[in-house]
Amino acid sequence: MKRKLVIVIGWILVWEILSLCISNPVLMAGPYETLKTLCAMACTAEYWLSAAGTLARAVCGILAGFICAAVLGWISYRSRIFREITEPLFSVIKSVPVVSFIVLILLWTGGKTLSFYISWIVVLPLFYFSFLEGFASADEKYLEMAKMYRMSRANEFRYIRYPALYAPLCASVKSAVGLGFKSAAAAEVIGQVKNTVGNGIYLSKVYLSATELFAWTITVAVMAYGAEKIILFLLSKAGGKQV
Amino acid sequence: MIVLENVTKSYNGKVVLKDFSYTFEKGKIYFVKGPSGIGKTTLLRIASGLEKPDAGRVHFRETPEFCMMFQEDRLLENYSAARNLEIVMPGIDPAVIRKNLEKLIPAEETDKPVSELSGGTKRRVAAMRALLFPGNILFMDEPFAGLDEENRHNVQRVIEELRGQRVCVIASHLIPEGTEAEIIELNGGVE
Repeated sequence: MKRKLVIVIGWILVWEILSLCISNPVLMAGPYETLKTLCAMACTAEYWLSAAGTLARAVCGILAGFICAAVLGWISYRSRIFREITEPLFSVIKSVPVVSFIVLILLWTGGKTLSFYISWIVVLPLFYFSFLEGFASADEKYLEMAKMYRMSRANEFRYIRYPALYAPLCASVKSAVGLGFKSAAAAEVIGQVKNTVGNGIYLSKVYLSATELFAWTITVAVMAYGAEKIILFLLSKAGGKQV
Repeated sequence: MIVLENVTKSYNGKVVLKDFSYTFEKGKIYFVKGPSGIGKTTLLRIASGLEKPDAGRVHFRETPEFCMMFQEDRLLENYSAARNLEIVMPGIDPAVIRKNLEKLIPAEETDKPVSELSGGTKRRVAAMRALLFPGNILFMDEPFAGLDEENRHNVQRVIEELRGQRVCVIASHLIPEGTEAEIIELNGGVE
């Protein structure tokens, strides 16, 4: 913990030195100015409204992606034909530039729900492949034991399938949550969605305010970090008490 | 109770069981003996429906309810010995489970995670799980493997005590001395 704190302080120092070297507040804001701006923004209702709007849409999108991936992953695990049909689609989704989806969804649905759909579509393939890997890695011998001892579906999931799912799910949460938030913010910038972090970032570009840009960026990073930690905590608790 | 008729099974062209026929009667113990790889486990797996024979058939005179001790322990490593049994037997009083478990393992080991138990202790926990599980057909695959003589006798005594009126088919290359069980010797493809 102490070491982590020292590392963070070290990086803040590097940031300060960099901003002093560049010495142009339009291009590079220092940590002190950024913190000052962030505190000032945090005193306004607009800041919290924007942060809450982005947080709600991104989290809902990530959760929707998680649930869809679980269902589709299970069907793919059970049906080889379904897997062969869907896998190329998810591989394509993974490689298509996010901005293409942003523009397309903007045309289809407008700005209000844009970040929800974007975070959903960005995390969906990541979670899908994790679920598929997790379902496939459940030990056949233990599944046979569950069948022989007539374990309920719920117990089979809890004691045999979930432990196999846990590691790939945690790995995908670590990459998908951050990606979901980043993509949601990018969508809001492009869609210029009112009362969102993305709109704040867009306005900081318009007004050439690097301090506001950095403050909004920190807001997204903190939200993504918090959401990731909460989801990982819930996943660790979902397996239930052991021993 | 269990009737196997002309059961044949082969893996990758190697015949493990050929035209094997046998009737296992209710309330009796059977030892299936023979060297490793002779088909003891295959016989148990076919009789329990876990595998299908290539030819022949298996039928039952009453609705089968199996209990199986596998060749591997197949215990949930992160849970205690007692919890492993409670998970598969939610209808049985945990106190009864503990009392029976203590017949085979020391009381202080019942609450330790299975991952911390020795191989022999795990084997005895797996044996007790199969013995306590309600059913009318009990299969045990190498229940004495990795056990010293004292524990082998102990397991044998508990099998006698808990098997009740079940058909009990035990695959083992070790046959306890003085057993009155019927012994079936597999001899490589032909019985």
